[in-house]
Amino acid sequence: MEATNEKAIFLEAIEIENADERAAFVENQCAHAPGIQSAVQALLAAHEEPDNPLDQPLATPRANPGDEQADTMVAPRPTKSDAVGIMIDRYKLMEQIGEGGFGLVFVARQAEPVRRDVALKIIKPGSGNKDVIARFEAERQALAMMDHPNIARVFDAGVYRDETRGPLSPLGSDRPYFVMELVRGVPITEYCDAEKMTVPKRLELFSAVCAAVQHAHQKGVIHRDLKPSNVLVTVHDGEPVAKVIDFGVAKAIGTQLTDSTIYTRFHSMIGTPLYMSPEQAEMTGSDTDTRSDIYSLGVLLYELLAGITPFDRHRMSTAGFDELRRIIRDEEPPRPSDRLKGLGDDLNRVAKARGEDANQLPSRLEGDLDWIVLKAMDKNRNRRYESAAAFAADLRNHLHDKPVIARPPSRLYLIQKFTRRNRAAIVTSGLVATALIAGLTGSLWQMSVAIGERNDKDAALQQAIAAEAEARDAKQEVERFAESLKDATQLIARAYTDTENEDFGDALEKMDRAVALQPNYYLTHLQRAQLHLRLNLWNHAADDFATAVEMGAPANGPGGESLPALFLLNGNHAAYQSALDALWATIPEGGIASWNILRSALIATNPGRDPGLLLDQSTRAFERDRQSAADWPSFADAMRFLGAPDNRRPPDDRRRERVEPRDFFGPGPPRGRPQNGPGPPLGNEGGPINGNAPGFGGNRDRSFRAPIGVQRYVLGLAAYRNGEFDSALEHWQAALEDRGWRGTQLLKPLQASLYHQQGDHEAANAALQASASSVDELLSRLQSPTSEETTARFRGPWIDQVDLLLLHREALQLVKGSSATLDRQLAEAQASARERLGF
Amino acid sequence: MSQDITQILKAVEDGDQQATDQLLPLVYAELRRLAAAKMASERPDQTLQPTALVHEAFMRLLGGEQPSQWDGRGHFFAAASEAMRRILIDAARKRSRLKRGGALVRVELKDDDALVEVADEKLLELDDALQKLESQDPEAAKLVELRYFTGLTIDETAETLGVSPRTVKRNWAYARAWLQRELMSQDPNSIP
Repeated sequence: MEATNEKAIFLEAIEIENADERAAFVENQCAHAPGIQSAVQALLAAHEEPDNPLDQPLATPRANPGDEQADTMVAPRPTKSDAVGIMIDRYKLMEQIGEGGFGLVFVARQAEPVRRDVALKIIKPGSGNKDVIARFEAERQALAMMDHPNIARVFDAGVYRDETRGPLSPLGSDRPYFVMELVRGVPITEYCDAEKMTVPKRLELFSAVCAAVQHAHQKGVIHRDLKPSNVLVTVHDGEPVAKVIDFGVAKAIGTQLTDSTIYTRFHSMIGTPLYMSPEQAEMTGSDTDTRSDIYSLGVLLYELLAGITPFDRHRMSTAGFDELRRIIRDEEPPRPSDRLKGLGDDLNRVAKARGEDANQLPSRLEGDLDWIVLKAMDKNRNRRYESAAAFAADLRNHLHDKPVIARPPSRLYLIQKFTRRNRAAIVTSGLVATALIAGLTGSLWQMSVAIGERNDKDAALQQAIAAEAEARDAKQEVERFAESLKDATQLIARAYTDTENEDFGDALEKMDRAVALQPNYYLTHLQRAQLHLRLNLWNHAADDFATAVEMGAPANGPGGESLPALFLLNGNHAAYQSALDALWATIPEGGIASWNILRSALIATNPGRDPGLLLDQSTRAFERDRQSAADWPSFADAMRFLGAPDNRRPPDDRRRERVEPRDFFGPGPPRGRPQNGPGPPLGNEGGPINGNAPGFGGNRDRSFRAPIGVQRYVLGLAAYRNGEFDSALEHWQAALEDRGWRGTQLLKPLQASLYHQQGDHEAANAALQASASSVDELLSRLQSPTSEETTARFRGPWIDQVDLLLLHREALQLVKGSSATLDRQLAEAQASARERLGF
Repeated sequence: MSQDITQILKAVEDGDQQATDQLLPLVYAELRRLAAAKMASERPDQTLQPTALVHEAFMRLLGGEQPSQWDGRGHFFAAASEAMRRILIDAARKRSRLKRGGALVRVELKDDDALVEVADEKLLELDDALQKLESQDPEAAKLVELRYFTGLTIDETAETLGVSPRTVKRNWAYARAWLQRELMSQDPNSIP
């Protein structure tokens, strides 16, 4: 009884904060039971006593004595070994064999339906865990189809749910797990080094890995996380056998990229960026395919041969997120042999592990093996081996001293690489700019203006002051707009990536979605127009440009000096005239029009300006260029061809030669200057030579000098439009003498028209026939927009092709009386081209 | 073995008082065995967590067949906590006997060496005090067993005893103060 009283009084007393009040309470309570007052007081004193043995967690390190409050004493944090013995569904954890960024790996015993030991991988708690199993289920069928001696099977997956705070769920959360064939092996790189395997032996073992990956790819399974720790080697009958583990796991664990996951994904990928392909490093989620595995295999082979990863492990682990992506995306890996030579003292060790002399090993790798590895690791996945089998086949070629498919980069190839890198930089800066636009509220206002809904917005704001409800609507509208603008921007950014990878169908599909999201903003139309232009889908490009201009795109900005011809080809005469008017308005008073504007003005059967004025302008432009040509050393032409400014000329001249920034998709000379060697020879696919290549988006220097061929062609066109046929023929003859000019086919339809007007029908027909064959060839190429030839932009600027079609149409109408067939053929070619892109 | 334990647990649930007595030896044996196995495989600097040991004993004894039956679990924990206390106290006794015997050579105690870091003397004193508490307030003593010797959380203890977490907290405060008072009264240096 006494104890019960004592307990009741104590428990009430400790609820009282104030010490005096508490003492009074105790005194009052104990008044009718005087014997217990001192006992309660002693109890209260003991309660306050800090050094209570019960506060010391039993059998745990006493790191923080005194930290623990009596009522907050918690079960000590479990250590990893605590999980052993636990049952996860029907698997009993036996022994921990690994730990990684994703979670823990155990040997587990399965009792039924068959008794066997398996590997059980339990995933760390995370936000995306709910989807892990769903993603795994989606791929389960494909995983079950895989049956290959070099692939560890994945048996099962599930979610472990522990109701108590058990050792595996310290946070009490659900944790997905995977059950796999147990492979007791060591990572392939470690095995090869430990066994001192020679290079040919290593290649043989690696080929088996390729075979495994090929098998998986054929079953539609991509690994996504190939690295040494996922390629284990065991020994069977004295022979090493490689086993690829974790197929299907990376995909299930992987999460979609969102702003909130980007940081965590960055950290969870820390272990693997060394083996990650550029497209994976982009982390756009959906963009991984079998070629990403080829890349990772390339890195793996690199390490097997050179004993070191292509990019420095330490550097990769200390680089920031953006730096990491940049390295993976942009930095060319050194050749394995070069990397070896740079190893210094380590070279001896690496060579010894391969049974080679330190002096011999680099030369052993030089050539074939360097090229093979770098081909597999190409930044552009289109240039990697198309399959793991092809990769292995090329290794066999090397082992049998046959020529390998992987070739050393040619000079042209290097130049292309350079311009590609440059383009990436341009795209990047473009993306940053777009992102900024999307992010800034200030820009939102500008865009509202751009949409042409300014009045509506103003009205909405007015009403907002009047009525609160409407203000909310207006705000929501702006938010919706910002949201869809952000989405559209992301789509466009991803379309850039697709275009870089020459996945034009995907790129176009994304552009279409971007336009659908933001149909009232000209930028989306402009972006899609430029992609259409690159694919030679001129009718679509023209429609997009026309829409963009209607929505207020700056006339001389995105329009470009060759835009009128595009409108004309589409039969949109009104757009042609207004685009030309806008361009003409940019010519300063008393100034000379650029060759591109003149060309645009003269291309129409009924020129967009007075023909006499155009002839006068053309003649003056020609005179101007002939004078300045004398001052220009040929070096300038070469540099201009390469798209680099010539710094040798005095500043006042440089103004005239300034090259406008290239837009992303528009044709034009490749920018940048190769570090060594000359550029591609004239007439090569490298790009158009000069300023007659139209661009969009830059402030074109009006006095940019065109090559003689173009000058004479335009001059002759001006003469022809003025009925000065002899003079026209003279100029065109001179144009033909410019060997570097690739627009010679333009002269055929012009000659046909001219001879027809002179009454020489025989000559006219002959010229028309020659023109028709050029046009036929062009039309057939137009149908396959993604063929190599087409992506090389017909070995010339698109404006040449557009002009050819326009002039041929003009000639047909003159000589035959109708161009309906051509128009139909052109429409068909464009339609079928889009069809081939998947539309 | 797992069949036995299931039956015993069932009997405990049905109110068979004898069954509880049957359960304890099983738990005790299993916990000792586990502790021994742990000692063999652990690095010496790692200490064992009572909770983990008890959880593990539970999983093993039940063979995973009825892992989610909380009732069985509650009874189990009650038995296991008593077993844990016995293991720890036995170990402490053994060591302090050795100390008094003046053994100069380090003796391998195998199974329970690293289980105890609390000074053995203090642990034995605490056990004595706990026995006194048991005679006065068995519920409070059980609570100490579960929380201190087995390492259950407030919530787990509450579930095992079938009371609210608040009651556990209050009783814990009382038991804690009571034991402290008892220990201080035994120590001639502390309270006058």
